[in-house]
Amino acid sequence: MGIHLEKGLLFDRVKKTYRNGVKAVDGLTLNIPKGCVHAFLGPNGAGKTTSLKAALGFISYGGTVSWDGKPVEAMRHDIVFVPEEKRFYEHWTLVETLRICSKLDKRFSLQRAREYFDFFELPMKKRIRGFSLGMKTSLYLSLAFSTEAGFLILDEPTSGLDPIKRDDVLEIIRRQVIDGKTVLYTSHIIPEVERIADTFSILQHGTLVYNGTLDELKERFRVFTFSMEEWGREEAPKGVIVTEQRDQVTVLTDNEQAISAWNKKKECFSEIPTLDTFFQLTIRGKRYV
Amino acid sequence: MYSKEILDIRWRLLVFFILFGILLVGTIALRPFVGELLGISSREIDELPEFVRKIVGDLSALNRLETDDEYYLYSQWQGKNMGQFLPICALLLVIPLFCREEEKKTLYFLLARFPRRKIFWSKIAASFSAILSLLVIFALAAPAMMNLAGFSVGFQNSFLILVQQVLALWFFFGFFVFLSVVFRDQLKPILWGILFVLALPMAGLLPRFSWINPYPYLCGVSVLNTGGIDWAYSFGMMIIGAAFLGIAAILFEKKEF
Repeated sequence: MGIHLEKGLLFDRVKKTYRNGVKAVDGLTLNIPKGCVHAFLGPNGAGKTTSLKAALGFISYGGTVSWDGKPVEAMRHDIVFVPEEKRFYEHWTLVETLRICSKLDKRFSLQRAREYFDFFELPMKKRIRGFSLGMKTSLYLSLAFSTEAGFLILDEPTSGLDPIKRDDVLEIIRRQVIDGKTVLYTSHIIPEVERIADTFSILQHGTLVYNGTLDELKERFRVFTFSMEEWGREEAPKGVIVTEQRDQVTVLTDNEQAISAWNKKKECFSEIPTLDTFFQLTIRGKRYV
Repeated sequence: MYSKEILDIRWRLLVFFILFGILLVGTIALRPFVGELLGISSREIDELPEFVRKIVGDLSALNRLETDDEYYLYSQWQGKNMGQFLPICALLLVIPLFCREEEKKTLYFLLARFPRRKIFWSKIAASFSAILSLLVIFALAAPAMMNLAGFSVGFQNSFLILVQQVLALWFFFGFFVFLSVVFRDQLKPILWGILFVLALPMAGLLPRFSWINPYPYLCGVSVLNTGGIDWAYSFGMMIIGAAFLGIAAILFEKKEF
């Protein structure tokens, strides 16, 4: 049974296997409620971009994706997408870009785009092929933020940006939510996600391994560090994720009994996981089932 | 969206306009010297072996070329300089339509915003209207300029050949759109397109398959020989072109990006 929420973006048992047999997404069921910033996390090849492409109707897939209960084609007017490779029409200048985009898309605000171009200090008369990676990212984001849409899908929106611009972009993304929009974005940069995401999900090998808020995570999970010798005397309970490094064993768990028992032990060190620790352990660790 | 597509092809279109303009002026300017040029050619042809003369074809056409202004214009302009380059122009204009956007990843900008059907037909409308304008302007400008240059040329055959050329263009256009949709890079469809343009007349050399060669139709041979449009061939061109375009539309609708 899938989730049956009507609002927001819903992935229901989404599957995608490419022709070469690679299972990119394997039964993804996930609801992204409206009015939040949701981050997709995962290592390369986890299925983040494929999930976005499925949601946008760029690829065929099994299962369903719905936007406010409707298929993507009925909602395209309310969606803006910034792809992973921010390659725009390189033979255009920004003057031409403004002219064409305002003719192309009724939702596009010329005034707002000019403001963003000024903000990102983009040269108006230079051909886009001469732009740096950061400038191309700034351009694509400017166009996305200048387009009136309820859903913003951003695939690695800060790639190529310097730390100052990255901060600015994160601030702008946050502001989109205050304006009532929904943002779904992918990133490899965990501190970014920690800073702006209301909810996040971690994908690995095409499956969802975690979905929730940072607060929920911090409330529910604990990280314990054992010496190798001490861990050898323990019996790993179901559901723990374990990584071994040199003479130490790090254990991530939400098993209440284990947390209670290990908290009383002086031989192990307990801490509340940061998102980075949680992500690293989830991806690298061995899961006891 | 139409204006975006025109903006994308404007430089290529401008080059074609300049090139066709130079060729047209050159064709008209050479008219007074054609007799001299053909005299040499005819003598040389007479000295050629029999099988080569068979390939060269009807020598009486060369004499007609010398004496008939209209025949000169139709054969040398619509039939040769413009007619033969038309498929190449279509190839260079149409092939990048989809595959370049896919290769350069700019297609995502459109795919995220518009239904695929709208993207497809906007590109088709813009590119076909652009190349059609090129064809119509230069097909009709030729007799007008010949008259201005002091030769006496009517418009009727120009118009009839133009009708055939529009349909032949439609045929090539449909195939090139199909190639552009099928491939994900620009090189392969261009090579396949060139192969197609070259293979058709070569296949047409075989007596049984002479109908495969669309160049006599494209260059208006039947109009010059019979004074009318080859309707059967026209119908074939129209249907095949539409079929290629229809298949391309379905493929684009289903394609994964």
